[in-house]
Amino acid sequence: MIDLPKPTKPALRSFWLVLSAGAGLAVGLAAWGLQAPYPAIWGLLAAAGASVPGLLRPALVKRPYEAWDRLSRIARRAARLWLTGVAFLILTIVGRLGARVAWNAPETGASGWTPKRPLPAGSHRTTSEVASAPGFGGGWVRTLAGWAGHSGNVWAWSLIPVLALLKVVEGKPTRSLGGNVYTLY
Amino acid sequence: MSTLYTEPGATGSNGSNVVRAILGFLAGALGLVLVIPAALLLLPFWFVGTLVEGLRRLLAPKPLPWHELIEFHPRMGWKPRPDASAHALDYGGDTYQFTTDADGWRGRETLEQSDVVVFGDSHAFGCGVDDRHFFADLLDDVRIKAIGSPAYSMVQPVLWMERLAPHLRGKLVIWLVCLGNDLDDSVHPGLHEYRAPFVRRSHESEGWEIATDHVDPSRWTITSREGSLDSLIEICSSGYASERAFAAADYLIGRAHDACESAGARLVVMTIPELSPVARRYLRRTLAASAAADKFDEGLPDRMFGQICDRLGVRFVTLNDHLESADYLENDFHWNPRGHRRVAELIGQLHRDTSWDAGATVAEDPLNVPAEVSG
Repeated sequence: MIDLPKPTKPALRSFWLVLSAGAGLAVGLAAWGLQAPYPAIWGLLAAAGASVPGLLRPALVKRPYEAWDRLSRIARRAARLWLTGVAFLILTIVGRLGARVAWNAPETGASGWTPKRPLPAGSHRTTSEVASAPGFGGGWVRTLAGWAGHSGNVWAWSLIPVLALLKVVEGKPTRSLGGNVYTLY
Repeated sequence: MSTLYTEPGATGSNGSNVVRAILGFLAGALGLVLVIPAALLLLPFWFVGTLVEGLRRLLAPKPLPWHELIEFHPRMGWKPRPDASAHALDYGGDTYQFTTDADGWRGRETLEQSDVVVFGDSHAFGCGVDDRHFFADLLDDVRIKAIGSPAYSMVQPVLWMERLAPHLRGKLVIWLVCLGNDLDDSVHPGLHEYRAPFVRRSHESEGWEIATDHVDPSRWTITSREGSLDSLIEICSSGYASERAFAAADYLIGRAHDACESAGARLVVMTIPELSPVARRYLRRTLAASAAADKFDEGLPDRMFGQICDRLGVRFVTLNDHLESADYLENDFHWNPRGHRRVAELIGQLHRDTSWDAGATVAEDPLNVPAEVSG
């Protein structure tokens, strides 16, 4: 959950509470660093004071909420670009240095087609060998890990952490205006 | 064609697989180091996002789904559920709290005790605001009863006026008509999967009639209703859809007028413009893609309603003269608390104003003054 939920009143209030708690923590830590008496009390007072406007008038929180949401989208896009690069780097290292088949077209003029065997019934979700690997259908991590072990491509396990993080940054579909505006009005 | 992975059964030594596995793990280790900056960048956003979503789930009241908000009615299609006290979702995803009486209508007053009875659709129901902001409960000196339901067209209010006519004697009847969808919905026999009474040209005479024969609890499977602003644009442009919608409205206002006149009640038709920010965004977008954009005349419905009411001797008030965009919810099509307050004050003004008679026209109506003047 990287993007913020729709800016409804409960979401705006929640966001402000989280920011207020952060502000309280910062004040408490500063008070502790300055060796002030009762730093926790200072932190609590700061958090409580900061939370009041947002709780009473959630509309006031909308601008900072949207600014944070925009920032999170920018960060997500940047992270996605970076992680895709890392995934391709791993593929390049394994492919260039470890593949037994050349990446370019065969120089001898031999066919580059790889043989495919008939797939088992019920493998309609994919037409690759992944469908016959153990763990298929039990989530993408199990499927990929099962296929990699089964097919001798153990190197592919190294992709799993990168792909997992990529999945986190995939994000939700953009909030757009629907077609049927007068659904129930 | 080359491939990065080893096909099971394909020729290949175990040695090359081992080399690739070692390279894979080394590359994976490098990859893990390289993902750290991305993870650090995302961490605060993930932390805040997760906390906000968790708190939101705790703070947000659980809304009642639409089908639990209403119950089947053999003539009207549906009506609000009686004795409900719950939360419902508005278009923007926010919840609002509402309470209904033993008949399913919102508001503190009873029909018998009320001075003013307001008929209409979701605006009359008060969609989008809590009970404490509902227009019918805001005035101390004028008792208002609202008879309205989400998704009603112009047809159900007329049928309710006729049904409740014996209780309307001596009262002021206000009929809220939402220009955005009520005109179009009135000529459709269903709203999504719900069967609804509608108005059509009579098979037996030259005029119009309200059809209710098809209304039963079974699912309506022919969806002809667009539910978008395309219909409003068509109605606001000259053409068949426009003529049909206003002819149907003419018939319905006539029936409402007859019902109120025979009951001894004074009728006011009050049109609701589409001024909410979300509606204006939709309208701009739909107009940009519409072939009828050059003929679009947003003032047409009010002028037509004014003419119809003038001819029938019904008082007409357009809320276009009393409300502005700031009176509407930001992410919904309905009024916000400020809008409800303004509408309540206007209703109070209409109730207290004994100077007008049923023949007052739009032009001579003292209440038809711009919003900034009326305050």
